[in-house]
Amino acid sequence: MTGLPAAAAAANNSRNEEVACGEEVASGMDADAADFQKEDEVGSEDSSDSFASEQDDTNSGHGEEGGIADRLVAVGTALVAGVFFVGSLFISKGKIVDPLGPALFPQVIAGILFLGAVLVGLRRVKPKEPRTGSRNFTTLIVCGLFVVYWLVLPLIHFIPATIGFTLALLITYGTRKKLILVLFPIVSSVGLYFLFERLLHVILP
Amino acid sequence: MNFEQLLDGLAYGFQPDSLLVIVLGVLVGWLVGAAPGLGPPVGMSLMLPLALTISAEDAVLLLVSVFIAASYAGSVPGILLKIPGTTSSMMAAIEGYPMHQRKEGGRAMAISLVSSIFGQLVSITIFILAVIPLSQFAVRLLFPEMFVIVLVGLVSGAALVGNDVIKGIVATAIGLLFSCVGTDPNTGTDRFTFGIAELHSGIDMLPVIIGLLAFREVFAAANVSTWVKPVRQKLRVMLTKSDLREIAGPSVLGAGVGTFIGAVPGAGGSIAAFLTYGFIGRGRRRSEFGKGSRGALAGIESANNAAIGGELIPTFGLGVPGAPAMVVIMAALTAQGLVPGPKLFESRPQLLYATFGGMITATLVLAVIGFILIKPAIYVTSVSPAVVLTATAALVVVGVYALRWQMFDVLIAFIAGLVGYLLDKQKYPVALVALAYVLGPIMEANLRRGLIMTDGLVGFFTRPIVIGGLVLAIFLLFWDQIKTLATSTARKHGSGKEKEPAT
Repeated sequence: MTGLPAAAAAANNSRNEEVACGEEVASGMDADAADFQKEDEVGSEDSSDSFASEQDDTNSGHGEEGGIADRLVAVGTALVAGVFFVGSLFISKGKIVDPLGPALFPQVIAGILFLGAVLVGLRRVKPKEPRTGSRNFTTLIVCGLFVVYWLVLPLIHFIPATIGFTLALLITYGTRKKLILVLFPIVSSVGLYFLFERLLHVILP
Repeated sequence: MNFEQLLDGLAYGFQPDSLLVIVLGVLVGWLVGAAPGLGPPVGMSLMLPLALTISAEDAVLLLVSVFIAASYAGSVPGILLKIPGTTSSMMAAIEGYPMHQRKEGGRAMAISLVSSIFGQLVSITIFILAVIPLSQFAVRLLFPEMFVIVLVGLVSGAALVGNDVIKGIVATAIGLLFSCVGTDPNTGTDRFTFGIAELHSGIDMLPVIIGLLAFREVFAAANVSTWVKPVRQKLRVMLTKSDLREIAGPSVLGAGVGTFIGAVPGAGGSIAAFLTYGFIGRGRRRSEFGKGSRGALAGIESANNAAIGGELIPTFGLGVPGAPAMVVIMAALTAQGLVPGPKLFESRPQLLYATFGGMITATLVLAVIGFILIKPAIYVTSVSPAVVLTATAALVVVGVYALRWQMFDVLIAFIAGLVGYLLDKQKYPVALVALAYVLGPIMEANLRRGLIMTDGLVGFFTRPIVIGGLVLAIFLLFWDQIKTLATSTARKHGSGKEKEPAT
């Protein structure tokens, strides 16, 4: 493990140099990319440091430790722990075959979850809160689109429902190229239909 | 080791059916890895519905081929765009992109491919050598020991994945808690079904895994914002003798480190790459680092890809998946009615040998396909993430529905994806939720059966392996504190020594 700090330091040095490089590459952007970039300018603090956002573990790591969102998630997890703990009190013991029974294991885990959520929730608030309004709005639209798709899918045929869903998603993600907006939904919907319904014999909803 | 079965396994990898599955897996894996924003677990999750329609051997080959190809191809956008396709290929971006900037992108990708292939071949060999003795040892372990092995696997994940142990523990607890939903296998009573009939048999594992690992990306539109189109540049694929001399040593080092680190649950390719980078950085050419060092790139890539074989060792040997990708393999095996772990080697030894043979074939197929695709790679990385994410969304919906032909499963995947997204946004290691969700029932069953077997807590927790495992788990949980304490003690000791002559 001794090599890790050295490696991390080396990575950090290179990451600092990275910020400048991002701007050079940006010269090659097309219309789509420009749209995304514009969205990001509203949505995040430092879009040029793409590497830093990757480093934030996976892709959307914009959570601020001790921030309101962090606390809300902590409250949510504590509530989940509470619901499961209360739910475990109503578990019928059934025929007792082992010393733990069916309720104790989830009760212990719910306790650990609650404790962890409290520890996260009580952390000191750091001064900076990221502005992620635009991106949250995009996520909300994606959620809404999915719910509508899920409700509509059993009612109308798979192909028109999926064409509508994919088209709406592309627009939400900021695609403006007409060729992609026309071709992709049709090709993907028809392609998936034939792949699953005709080749894999899945009766789609 | 049975050499006859080993040869059968090697031959299995070259059978037409297997070859077809492997080529498909490598192509899908390469596309998923090279497309900015997606990674091996996403690609493997998308292949799960197909994996359930073929034999268990072919299913593992399909998923492993996707994993192998996506692990390598994750570096493609890293080298060409400086946006790594996977977190484990972050380091490759640091060394590969400067090479691309000085018009050596083709060379960087060739070095990446050669060292990745080398790392994979070494780790696959070590995998087969290590996994058989490990499973032969593990098969003799009883319930308490199996419980503690799973516990150590989960704790090690919580301690090593991400930077926050508490959030790691929370993520693990969420996965464990939701794995309790459904009928209790020991007593037959319902747990947390809240009157919903569909929950009597529990929340199906596959929609949860697909939701957490793949659907999450659809919500995380942040990928889209960081995307930039690569500067179009004709890639000249070249690799000279001097390059080979330069990359040989680091590749060997990376292969060793990668396999070893990969075998530690929760560690994986990114830590292996970091470590190798640190080791190589102690060499003479430290000044070249961050400026496109061929040796460093080779070491990183070899380590990152060697982690694959390492990660498979605890998955097959102990039934403890050490990485999100391994969780997908384990979920596929479980869905096929198999119990992953040491007993699998006894009940279905051909699966292990076929995996070995298939991985060798997949690596060779990747060598060919990867080489052919070096030049077109620039076009694949040009595909807008909006298209990639939309395709992922449509595929997830249809794929999850196809598992059991139930729209309820699609809803579960959606909820799991949304929960994963919200947790990920606050830097909770979502992969641990998936890991704990898969391991939860195994952990609880071993604990409860163990308590029956040992007739109580004292008998259970005084077994030597259990004590050793618990000590290791505590050590892992408090590793950061131990490290800080050790450093401050060493500093005090050091400053005390320095002061000595003055006094």
